[in-house]
Amino acid sequence: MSSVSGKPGIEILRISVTLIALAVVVAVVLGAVHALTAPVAARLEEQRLSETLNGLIEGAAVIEETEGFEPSITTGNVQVPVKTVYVAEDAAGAVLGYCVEVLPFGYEDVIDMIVAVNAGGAVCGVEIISHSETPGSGAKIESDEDFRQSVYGLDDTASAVKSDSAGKGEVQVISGATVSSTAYINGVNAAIEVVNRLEQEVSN
Amino acid sequence: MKVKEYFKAGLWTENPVLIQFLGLCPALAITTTTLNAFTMGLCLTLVLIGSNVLIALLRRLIPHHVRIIFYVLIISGLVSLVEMILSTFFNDLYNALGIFVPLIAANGILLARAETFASKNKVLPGLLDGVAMGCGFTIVLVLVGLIREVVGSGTIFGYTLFGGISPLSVFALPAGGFLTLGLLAAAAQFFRNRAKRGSHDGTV
Repeated sequence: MSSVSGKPGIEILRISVTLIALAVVVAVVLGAVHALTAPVAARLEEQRLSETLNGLIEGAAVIEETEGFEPSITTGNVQVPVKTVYVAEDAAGAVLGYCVEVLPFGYEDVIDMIVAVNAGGAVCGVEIISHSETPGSGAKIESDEDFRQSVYGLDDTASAVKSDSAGKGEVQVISGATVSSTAYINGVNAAIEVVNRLEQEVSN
Repeated sequence: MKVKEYFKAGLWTENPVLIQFLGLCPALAITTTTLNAFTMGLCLTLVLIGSNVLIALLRRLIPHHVRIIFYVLIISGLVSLVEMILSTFFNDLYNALGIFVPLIAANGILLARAETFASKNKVLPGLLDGVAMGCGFTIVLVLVGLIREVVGSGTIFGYTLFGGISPLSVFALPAGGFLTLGLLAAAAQFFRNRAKRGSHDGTV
């Protein structure tokens, strides 16, 4: 240390102090912005979710999270994780339906989707929250309204088929996007299964 | 240097994407739709203006031989700022851009402009350079996005263009990004060379 004649030491100190000072400034600014935006972000997030849920089940007075569902459902030989289940009730407290958020694995990554099942056990709406499927093919599970709505009305698990004439209990996949379509159908199946089991528990 | 010259450099003679081949990662990955491309361009322009101004402002304070650390600190702070604002107020766009917003911090254009321009110039030239280079980047991205969206998905700003004809999906996929960008870069070189040859013919 004594061989260094002081100057480089001071230089290093100067660099360190400048760097730390700048880092502190950056941190303070970011912290301030975060403190401002975080509550807004949380509120908007909640609002988006409630809009989605209310759009899926009409006329619900209360939509709230419920517990006691299976954390994952096996359908068509694949496991589909179940994230949350919401129960929708009308003003009198009668159950109108369920919104089940499921995470089937698509072609690239999990597809985050909410499936609405009405009190009769039939699918009445599906909303895709996020997905990373291939643009132009797999991403059609979100943009292709005909396919998306082809599962509406299902009251029992269905199988994915490629043929043109999908019969009862069958859903035709989007051509060129079999994996993504199948994941979507698996998600719907899992949601139907979750609701079936919840209903059974209630009636027991 | 006149204002016009900054824009001539940013948009054409030193265009960051077509001539300098910087920032190719977002130019290839995020340009599947015009809107995504435009948002990406806007985000990068904002960060670039901010980093150019701050670096020009602090250029005497930043110790020369550790300058890159300071640049990275300033750039990543700005990127975090943009990310927080985007995710709060423009959540749909934020989700569409995904990982590419935080990756702006690693965009070559930012470091290149900081090193070659902002660190050697005053605040106003830094600002102008940021605006011009940002515009050059944005215009190329929007052009790539426009071509890819029209050819690859048959839509423009999300609206279907020609219903009956099925689009060339390859342009919506990564390969299409390379093809489009390659063709655009080739076209840019062609016009540049022609202009050069033209001026030679005129003088000789």
